[in-house]
Amino acid sequence: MKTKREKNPNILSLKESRTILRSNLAEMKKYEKAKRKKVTPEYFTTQLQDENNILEVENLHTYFYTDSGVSKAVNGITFSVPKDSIVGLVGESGCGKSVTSLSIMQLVQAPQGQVTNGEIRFATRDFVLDDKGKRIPIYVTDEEGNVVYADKLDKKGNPVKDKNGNIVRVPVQARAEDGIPLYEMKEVTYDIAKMPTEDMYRIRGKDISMIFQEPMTSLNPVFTVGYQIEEVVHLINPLATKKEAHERAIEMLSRVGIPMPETIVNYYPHQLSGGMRQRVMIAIALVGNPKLIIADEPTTALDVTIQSQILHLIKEVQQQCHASVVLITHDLGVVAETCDYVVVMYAGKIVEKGTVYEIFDNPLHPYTKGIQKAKPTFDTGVDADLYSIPGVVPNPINIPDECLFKDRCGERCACCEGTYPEEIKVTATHSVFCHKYKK
Amino acid sequence: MDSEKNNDTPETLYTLQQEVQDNQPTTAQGDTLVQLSDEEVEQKVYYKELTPTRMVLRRFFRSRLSVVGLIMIIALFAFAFLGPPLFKMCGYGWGEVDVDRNPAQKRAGIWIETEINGEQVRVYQYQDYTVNTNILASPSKDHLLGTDERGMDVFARLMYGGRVSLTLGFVVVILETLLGVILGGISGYFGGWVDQVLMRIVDILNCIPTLPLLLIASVVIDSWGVPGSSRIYYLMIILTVFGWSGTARMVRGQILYLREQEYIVACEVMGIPTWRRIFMHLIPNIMPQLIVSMTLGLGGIILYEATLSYLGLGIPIPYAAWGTMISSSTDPITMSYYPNLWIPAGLLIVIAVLGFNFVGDGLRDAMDPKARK
Repeated sequence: MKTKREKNPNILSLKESRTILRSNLAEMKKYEKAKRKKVTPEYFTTQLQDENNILEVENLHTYFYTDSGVSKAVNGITFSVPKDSIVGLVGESGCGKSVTSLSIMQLVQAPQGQVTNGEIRFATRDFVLDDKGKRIPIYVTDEEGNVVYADKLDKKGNPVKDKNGNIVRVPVQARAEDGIPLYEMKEVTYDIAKMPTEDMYRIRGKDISMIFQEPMTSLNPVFTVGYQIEEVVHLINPLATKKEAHERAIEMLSRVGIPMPETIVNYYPHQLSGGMRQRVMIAIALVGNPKLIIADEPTTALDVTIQSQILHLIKEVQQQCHASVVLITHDLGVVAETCDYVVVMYAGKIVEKGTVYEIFDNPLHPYTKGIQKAKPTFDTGVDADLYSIPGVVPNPINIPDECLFKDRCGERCACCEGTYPEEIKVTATHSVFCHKYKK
Repeated sequence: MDSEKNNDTPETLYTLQQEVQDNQPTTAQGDTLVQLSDEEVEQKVYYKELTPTRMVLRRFFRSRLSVVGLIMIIALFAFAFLGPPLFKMCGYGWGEVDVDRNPAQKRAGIWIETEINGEQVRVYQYQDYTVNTNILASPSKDHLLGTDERGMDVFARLMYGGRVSLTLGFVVVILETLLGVILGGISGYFGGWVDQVLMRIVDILNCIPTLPLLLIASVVIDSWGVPGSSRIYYLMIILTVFGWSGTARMVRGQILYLREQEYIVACEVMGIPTWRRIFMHLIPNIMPQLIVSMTLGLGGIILYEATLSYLGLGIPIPYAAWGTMISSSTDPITMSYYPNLWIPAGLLIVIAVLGFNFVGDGLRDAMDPKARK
């Protein structure tokens, strides 16, 4: 006798999947169309809320339109990165830390991934353009304020002559200490979420750069380490000669503490160890003197001794070039050691943020308490089981608008029902998202 | 308990430090050891290593078969490109289309039936006659491999024919690879509709049988009245147009995989422009596979050229090509009585194709990163 097969409630029916597909296509089309629209810089210029910040992320939503539904990887997060500081982004795997960093770099895999809402305000500088849309160079002036002229030289270093045989003289463009030709610049704040990708190329590598998780795969295996640094040098400073670029590459390598930089510069990545490669990656990230460095789990693939070296290096270069660092990690030890501010994320949302002292001395959210308890310590003894938070992170597809941690929470109470909790400010810097602290 | 431990620790540390200070490293004579400065330590290089190119070469030459292949190819090139001047130097005047106009004695024979002593017998009777041109001469001191049915020296034509086959092979492979790399690279990197359009073109090219298509193209060129000497350039274009699809597909497949690698994302982060990412970062990564496919492709193109010439649609007589020379074997008399006209050309084609395949195999093994030892 045939029994009617029972429907598995976890499997999408054909009709449901068709609706999802249709709505996904429509949504993706909407966002892709908006991206193709030609915009002027005024469209994506904004104002920072606090002048001491370099990056302000406000109400950022990054969604992925997958075949089984909309995955809300980042679902309305707000945090800011003050100038000259290290901000740690902490959370379990799959809670949206990396997607946040990719959104800041505009590297979310389109068309499935889209920044659907929110602002990413970044304080950067841009060229002042004249009427014709060209950059205005700054010329060298003598003591009386007159512009200095010099012979125009061709590529081989011979003076260029005009039709009458006179040597052409051109004004000398000023150069920065590292040889970059100077143009008139202005301080502006751009909203990266609205910026077209072409404009993003002016920021990437120069004002924001990134350090990746896997030093083993983030360097191109077919080129020498030096070539890969020189390429970025040429990109940032188009006037650099080959020799200048090579010298700068050696200088960058010695700055990140690589011994014998003159030899290592000619090495291929496979000849270097993981820690050395991560140092090279940091050197590449530092070539453009960036204002913001995003380090996406920079020490996860390294062993413990190298880890601390790399963290110290990051902290050192951060202090040297007065850049800010967004450090993404799931290691609380790393956070305690390096960060000034901490943002704890859970399932695409922020659950608690504050200075490193506030988070470690006075954790308020049950999740923050849980991950601190889950850290192995010497006090508990060898035989004691390591604490782990029961349950898993909920799937970000179709998540409801409520506290997402309540099913795993040890301090759950009747007040936990209802919509996602509002931000509760404990101090000026410390805030927590939990119903328990609602007054 | 905890407080006890804490009280202990500084003291223990202190004593440890004291001990370390007391036990300064000293030699037997009591002198302190020579301390190397940091720079001195760093400058010591304990080993040297091979460059990647030399490593590949070392592994290539370790395989006997690839060396044999290389020797075969070098010999063929020397034969085709250095052969003719040497040939002239040795006193032979024959060129590619020179006909030997010397009159030659030929002897032909027929069976005739006569009556001897009232008996019917069949007798073989020779007839000597003189021809104006020295056609179908046997191999001799004058003509090392004899002459063909037009009186042209077979040995000289073999050398000139080699020039055609080898240059054509190289030019076509280079053109094919260029086209394939550009289109495959763009297709693999951008994906989307660009990829769709390019890959459907490749699909169309792949599902039409190549040989009939080549025949049609050759006939079309015939109908345009293209002179025989410039026929080879048209052949190159035809073979390229029908041959790039394989390379493009291979390049696309590799790039689809490589563009997801972290170093390409890192390139994007550093603001390196798109064309530079494709052609300066991705293509060098597939260079080993490209070189192997180019080498293996060479043999195939030489075969295609020979096939077309054999069918009378490639390089036309009187110009020499190995395929054209083999086509004389279509005549049953030449086939059975004058093997000196077509066997050498066939042998050379076999040697060329085998040589390129051996070298290609050797390169593949040498450049395989997984075999790196």
